[in-house]
Parts: sequence; structure tokens; C-alpha cells
Amino acid sequence: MKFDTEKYKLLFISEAKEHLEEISKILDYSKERLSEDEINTLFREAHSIKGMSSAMGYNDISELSHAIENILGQLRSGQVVFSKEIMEALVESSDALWKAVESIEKNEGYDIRDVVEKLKNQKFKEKTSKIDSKEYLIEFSLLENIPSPSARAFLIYKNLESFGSIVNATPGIEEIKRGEISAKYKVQIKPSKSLELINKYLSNVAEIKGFSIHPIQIFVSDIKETVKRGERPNVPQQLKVQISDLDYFLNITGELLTIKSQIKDNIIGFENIEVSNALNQMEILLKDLQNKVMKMRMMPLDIIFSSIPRWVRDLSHKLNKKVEVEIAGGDLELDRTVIEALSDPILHIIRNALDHGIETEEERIAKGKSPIGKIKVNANKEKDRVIVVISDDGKGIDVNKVKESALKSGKFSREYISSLVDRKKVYHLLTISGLSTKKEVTDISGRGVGLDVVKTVIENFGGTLDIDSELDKGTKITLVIPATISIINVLLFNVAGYKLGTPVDKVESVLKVCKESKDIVFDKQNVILYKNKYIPLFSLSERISCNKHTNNVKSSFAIITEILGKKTAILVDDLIGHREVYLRPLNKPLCLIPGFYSSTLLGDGTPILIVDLQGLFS
Amino acid sequence: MKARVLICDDAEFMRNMLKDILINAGFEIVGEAINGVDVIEKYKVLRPDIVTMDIVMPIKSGIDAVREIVSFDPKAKIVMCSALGQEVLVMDAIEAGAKDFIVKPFNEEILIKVLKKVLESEV
Repeated sequence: MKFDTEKYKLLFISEAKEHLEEISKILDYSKERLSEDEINTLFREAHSIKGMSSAMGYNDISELSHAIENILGQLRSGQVVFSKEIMEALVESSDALWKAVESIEKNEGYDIRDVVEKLKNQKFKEKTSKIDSKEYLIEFSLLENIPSPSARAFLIYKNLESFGSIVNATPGIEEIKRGEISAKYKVQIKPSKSLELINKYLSNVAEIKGFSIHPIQIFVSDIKETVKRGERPNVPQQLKVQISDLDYFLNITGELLTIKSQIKDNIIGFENIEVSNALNQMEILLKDLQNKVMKMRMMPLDIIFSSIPRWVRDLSHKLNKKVEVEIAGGDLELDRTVIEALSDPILHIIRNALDHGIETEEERIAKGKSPIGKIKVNANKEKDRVIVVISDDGKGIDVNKVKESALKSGKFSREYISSLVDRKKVYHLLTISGLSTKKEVTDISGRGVGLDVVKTVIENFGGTLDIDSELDKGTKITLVIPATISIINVLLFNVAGYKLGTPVDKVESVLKVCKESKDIVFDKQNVILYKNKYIPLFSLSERISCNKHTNNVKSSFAIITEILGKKTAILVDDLIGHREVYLRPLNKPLCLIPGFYSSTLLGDGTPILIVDLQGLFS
Repeated sequence: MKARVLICDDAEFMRNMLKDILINAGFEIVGEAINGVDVIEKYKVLRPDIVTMDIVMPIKSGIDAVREIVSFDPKAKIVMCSALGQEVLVMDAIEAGAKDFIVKPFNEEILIKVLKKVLESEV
């Protein structure tokens, strides 16, 4: 996938102009000074232009914005004082930016190289006041054998920050965040509070073995040197990376984690503290690497959401309906594979809402509703899941009509259909392949085109789809999807001699059950007592047709989970525990077995199939 | 006056244990919360002097809860209850504004010392 800059050009031009307008509002030759707020605003605007232009590949624009940012940064920190020259340079640069953006708009070339070079090399009046505040070197060491030593050091660094600004530290705070520990920690600080307070604080930290505070002699020339060294060469701070490279990283990280567990499992019994420590360190680093890779793969939902308003406008125009759309939560980030897979389902559901849910203006007026229909798309994050709710205030789903068309399809007996009392179960019919795609259903019920496809896509990612509706009030479709894929926490268990797993976040709880217990009633339909209520109980081994060993087992475990919105217990033989695992997709023919959607390898190399309990029992 | 503590942990066992230790040591337990959302609501109502916060909890993690409580009350004093191997999470919690941490399994003495230290400190 190549980044298509042409597509974003118009957006770039309009946004860049907005930022430049804000800049020109502030810049004025006659001004004697710039307030702190003004400097901050200018800085922000220049920063935005820098980011946008570098993403678009307009390097000169980005470089010039960076140079503007530099001057503003120096003004803000008091390194240079405001002067007429500064104002002139800023005005000249923003004019150059305007011209460049306008040239891009007209598809013409532009040359602002001179201005860039001039601004970069221009020296402004430095503040003359002497730097006399002293810096101090704090050295401390921690007691051995304290738990979480790097977190302790991190906390001390953070607390020291409240006594002044930390100029330098070894190990650095980033290294500590990566799990590095040291025999001695050195923090160079420029105190804003008295040394006694720092002294008092450090002596109160129980985990500190010893510490010292010494003044450091620094010379003005040294500071100048550091400032010079601090000036970055103009290498772009962002790179474009192929998506396939990120996929590769993720795979490798997953493999590394598997290898780590293999090592860990194999050294049990050889109690070597150094090896264990090294492994723990490795675990922290790998987790960090994993998080970074996962983060790099994240994209905001806005990639899908931003196209919705235009899309709704076009489609509602075609359908001659008046529709307002309200969108929230577009800033939530999901793994790019999830984003890619979600885009069709979301647009699909909205299309259904527009096409079959929202009534025409006349119909709405006749029903006493507002003439303008409303579609709401809302995304929320709960733990590591993202919940997308798409609701409309249209005509809703007519349960009886869905039943009628389900009967007509010939797939269900009349007895079964009439036994469906719970309306959610009726809506579930809409997601059954071959039924929902029938045209009659959509025409009559007002919903259903390809909902089976939507459901399959969502469930393939370990998500769920829920439909709720009220006649003449509207319909609400809720998609729950994991924000990141690939690495998840699974509950491992034994069934009929096989090791299997299922995602932990779908498990509500686990009960130990004794087959003779009064809490279980084995009848035509088995039930089990859970939180003072009888809930259905299914045997996993029977469901996957391998009930050879289970009959001898006296006690087993019931996994409580929600299936079709109802608490359900699934009987398994034994629990192994929970692990964080890297999921590997199943290939043909394994992926064709219903109810299994991926696999993983345990530390000892045992392959484990991941069961989709919802898919298997619904 | 007794220091007022709000305990947050999704495990009833842990809550009870903390409660026993702290009551014994002369603290007043003003409330118990069972997840990150619960603790934010209870914090706003009860305004405790200090909170003990589990890290991994359903609905909302302890880290997110710290972030929200601190943005509501920048002076909030929150002590994280972590387990071995949660160092990265502890650092995230500190960054979010937690004042200190203790590592499970607790040592009674350390737990009380840490809470007292955080209650007294100005940092």
C-alpha cells in the first residue's frame, strides 16, 4: 500500500491555509512584543504545518516551519529576546509559506530555499543575563533484592522532577522504563526547591541504600556547547514504512515471545537467579517491543469515520431522504487489520440504516417524527475492546415479518419459529446465511442485506455483533471488536485429552463442578446453578464429538460465558491456566472447521487450537 | 484523626485482607471499589485521604483510573498494588500520577509504612 499524496493534497491545502491564517492574525510589524499565549499559538500552528508538509513530502515547507518553530522555541525559553528582526523574519517566512501553498494549489513549482537558508542561519540577540544557578549531581543506590527495582528508580526520578529540572541522568529515564537497573543512579538536577527538601525526601525512601548530593561546576561556555550540540541536523523525524515490514516485525516479536516461554518452561527446576533475572529483563524488553510494534500498527477509526458524512450525504440524496449523521469516537485507535476489515461492515450497516431503516420525509411526518432522520455512529473503548454502536431512529425491525420470511425460506420449522419468544433470537435469524440475503426479507423487514457477512467478519476477529430494535423507534447494532489482534490472553483447558484455549475476555468466570452436585440437573437439557439462577450447560467434548474420556471424570470445570446475550456454562475436563499467546491464523483445511479460528504454540511447542465458544454454541 | 482509605481491588479476598491489615493499624476504611469505574465514582463522593489501587481490573484498569482521578483531583494520593512482573505497568501508573507502589504478596509492615509515608509527603 503506497501513501497516495494526491488524494490528500486538497485537504493539505485547506488545512495549511487555516493554520497560516491563524499565524497571520498574530504577526504584525508594529508589535513591540509577543505574549506567551501568542508564542505558543504560533508554535502550535507552525508545528502542525511542519507535520502535514513532511507527511506530504513538501520538505522545504516542513524545513521552514521547523526553523520558525526553532525561533519561537528560543523566544519561549528566553534564549533570545524579542526584536524587530525576529518579527521581520517571522513575517517573511510565513509569507513564503503562503506562496508555496498557493503554488501547490495551482499545481505550480515553488522555491523557498533562500528563505529557508536565511532563517536557519540568522542569529538573533541572545539574552545577556548570566546563568548562575547551580546544578547538582545526586547519586543514589538501591537496596538489593527489593521487588520491582526499576519501577522504584522510576518513581524516585519522577519525584526528583518535582524538586527541579533534571538535566541529565544515567541510566536515563527511558532506559529505566525499559527495565534497566544499575548499581548507581546519577541524576543531574537544577533545583527549584531547597537542597534540604531533596535531602529529606531521599532519606525517607526506604529502598535507598545510600545517596549523595554534590554541586557541579559548570561554565557558560559549556552550556553554549550543549545548546549547539542540541541543534538537530535537518533529518526528517518521521519515516514511511511498508505495512508488510510492520507485519514482519509483529510476527518476529510473536516468535520471540514464544521462544522466551520455551526457555522459561525449560529452566523450571534449575533455580539460577541470574538466568531468571536475565529472563525477566528479557520479558520486559520483549513486552516493550511488542507494545511498540502494536502501537505502530494502530490507526484511528477516523480513517473509516471521516468518509461517513460524505457517504451518507450522497446516498441519502439518491434515496431522497433527509438524514443527519452524528459521529463520535473517531480518535480511537485499532490495529490496521481490524480497521481494514471493519470498514465494509460499518458502511454496510449504515447503508442498511439509510436504505431500509430511515423512512422518507413524508412517512416520518405522518408518524409524528422529526422530518430529518438521524444516524449515530459511536465508538468507545472498554478494556482492550472497541465497541462501535450504529443506531438509527428509523422504522425498526418487525419481528413478525422476520419470522414470516424465515418460514418462507424453508430453513426452519413452523414449530421452531413460533417458539422464538425472545426478540433477540429473532434478530439473530437475520444473520443466518441464505436467509438475510433474500430480497424479500430486506424489503419487508427493512434490514438484513448481508448481515451474515458482517457477522462472519466481526467474529473472525474474535468480536461479537448484537442487534436491538424497537418498532418505529429505530435499530441499534453493536459491534464489539478487540482493539489489537494477534496477541491475546487465553484460558487453556483440557477436553477429552486435547488442550484447547479460548479468549479470556469472553469468559465471565469459571466454576468447579462435581457431577454428583445438586447444582447440576442433567435432563433433556442440562442446566447448572450459577448466581442463584439456572443457566444452560453444554459439554464441549460432546459438541466437538470427542466424548471418549469424559464419562469417567468425576469433577470438571464449567466456563461461564455469554452466548447470544445469555449466560451459558460450557463443561470442560480440566483447567490449565491462562497465558498470553501469539495467535496464528488457521489455514485451509483447518480454518473450515466451524468454531475454531486460530491456533497458537505453547512454550513447550504444543500446538493449541483456539475455540470460538460463541460460534460453536450459538 | 484516622486517615480515610478507599480500597480498590476486583478480588474480594484482597479487599478483605487489606481491610483487616489497615483497620488493625488504625486506618479508617471509607469504601471499597471493585473496578476502575467504581473507584472513580467512589473517589468523587467519598474524597478519601488515600487510595490503594489494584492494576489489572475489569471494565477499567487501575492505570486509567489513576489518570482520571488525578485529573479530577491533582492532589490525589494513590498507591498501586502490583504483582511481580508488572513493573512496566507500575511505571505507567506512576506516570499517570500514582504516588507509590507496593508489590504483592504484601508485607504488612511495608504496606503501612508506605501508606503513612505517602500520607505525610508533600511530593
